[in-house]
Amino acid sequence: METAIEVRNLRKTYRSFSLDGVSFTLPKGEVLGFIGPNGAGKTTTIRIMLGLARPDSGTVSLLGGSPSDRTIRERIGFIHDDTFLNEDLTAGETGRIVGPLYRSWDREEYRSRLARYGLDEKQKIAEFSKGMKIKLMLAIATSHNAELILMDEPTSGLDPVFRSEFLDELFGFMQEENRSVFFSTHITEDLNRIADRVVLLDRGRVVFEKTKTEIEESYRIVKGSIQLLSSDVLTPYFAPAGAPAGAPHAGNTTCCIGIRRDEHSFTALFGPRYPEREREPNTAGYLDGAGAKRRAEKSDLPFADATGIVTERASLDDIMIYSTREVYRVHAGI
Amino acid sequence: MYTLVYKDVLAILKSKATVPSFICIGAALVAMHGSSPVGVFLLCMPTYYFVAYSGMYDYKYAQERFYLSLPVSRSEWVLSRYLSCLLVAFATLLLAFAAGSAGSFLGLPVRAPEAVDTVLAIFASCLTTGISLPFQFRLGYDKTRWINFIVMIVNSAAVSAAREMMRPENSIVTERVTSLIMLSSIVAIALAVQAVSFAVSCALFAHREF
Repeated sequence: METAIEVRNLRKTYRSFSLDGVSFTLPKGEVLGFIGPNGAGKTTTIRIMLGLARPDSGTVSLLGGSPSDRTIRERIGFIHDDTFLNEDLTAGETGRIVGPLYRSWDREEYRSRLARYGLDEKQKIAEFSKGMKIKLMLAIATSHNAELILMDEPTSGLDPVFRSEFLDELFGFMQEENRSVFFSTHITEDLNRIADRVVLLDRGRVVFEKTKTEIEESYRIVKGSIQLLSSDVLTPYFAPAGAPAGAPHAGNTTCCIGIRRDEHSFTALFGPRYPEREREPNTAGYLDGAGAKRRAEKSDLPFADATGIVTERASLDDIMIYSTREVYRVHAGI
Repeated sequence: MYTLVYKDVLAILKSKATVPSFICIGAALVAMHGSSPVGVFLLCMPTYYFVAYSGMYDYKYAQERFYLSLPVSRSEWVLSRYLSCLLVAFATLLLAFAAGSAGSFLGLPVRAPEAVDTVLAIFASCLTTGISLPFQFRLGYDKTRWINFIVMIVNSAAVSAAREMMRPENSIVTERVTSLIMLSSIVAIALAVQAVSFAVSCALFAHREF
């Protein structure tokens, strides 16, 4: 498998935060969604990938080479969460500055993209809206025939219409063979359409790296009245610990990841056990078990049984929230 | 590389620093007509403004984060800033020559810079960039604004000292030989300051994180 990105055991310690052995892989031609709450370490990871920060240990390989290699950088486009450009300059002037830095810069492509995005070449960047600035970054990132696009929360702060347009453009760019995209975001909705795989980062650690299909198949939301929140009632929703090998979720790999509850009801996320969490104190509270009820796994629709417990597919938002919010994770110890 | 120099120069031309720079050049020509030593300081002011404003733009827009993600090495980024500074210094002198000569021709109370003024202005400009840039590349603009005051004091002392040493009564050989040696020495010192400053800036900038 040819890889566009290979990150291995990345570590970086700051005074109040550390990346702790981050590893993941993006095969060529795929889109990787890099999700996590604010402060999870997404931007730090990207800064290291772009050579803007140095890791304490670990390696980063982009398109089979080092990020500091000029020929590798020629093949990469990136979009930060802001422009980081002198906003007193115009889009045209910016193109004239950036273009010569790439051997394969296509001036006509850049101009046609500006026109398509409704950006006036002679207008100061300072006069652009946030959405227009991100489109300018997209035009820069895609006008030199990049094979890999790295994006750091490009859609945060954009309205749904702009986000949709942005994703359409990105989708169009992806149609060409072997182009890969690394998409860091906390707006998981954006990933539903384009991501092939997802990496969830929390407090500097990779919680999981899975394909979208694996995620759809292995996570379930279970809801019910607060009176039903007991091991006795929920037991049927797990296969016994010694379930036969080969059965779905056999081998005690599924657990309750997090629970939100109020006076009247509870909502819980069930999914695969996170081995990394074994080291954390609150892991003891996780329910053991071997999988949410099989009936629910086969259905895309919410399913309510006779006890009044509803099971449904978990969204990426659900997975991120229940997997990372401390208050829900502590509550998982029912 | 040249595109980064173009970026810096374009930015300064579109900034508010352009107007005071032109005023300083005009004032320098008038001051030199009256043989005031202030003329030399005024001639290095455009470089001073350039160093401050280009650092300010880097800080304001975090431009390093963008450009260092492109196929641009850190040493190229540093070198482009030094080249831009030299370009601004020489452009200032050229403009001063042209404006001074034209003004004299028209009978205005101005004088074009002479050899001594030119060398001292280059020296002062090199000191400005040589002292300021390593601090900027290590700490960023915001934490190094205080260095501008130090640059002014050092410039003032260094140029005054150089001027003093070039007086005929302090010569040990003939006036002409002394002047030539002194001017060459000052140029050599200016270049050495630039070279050392560039090396220090590269070393410091290589370890900076964005």
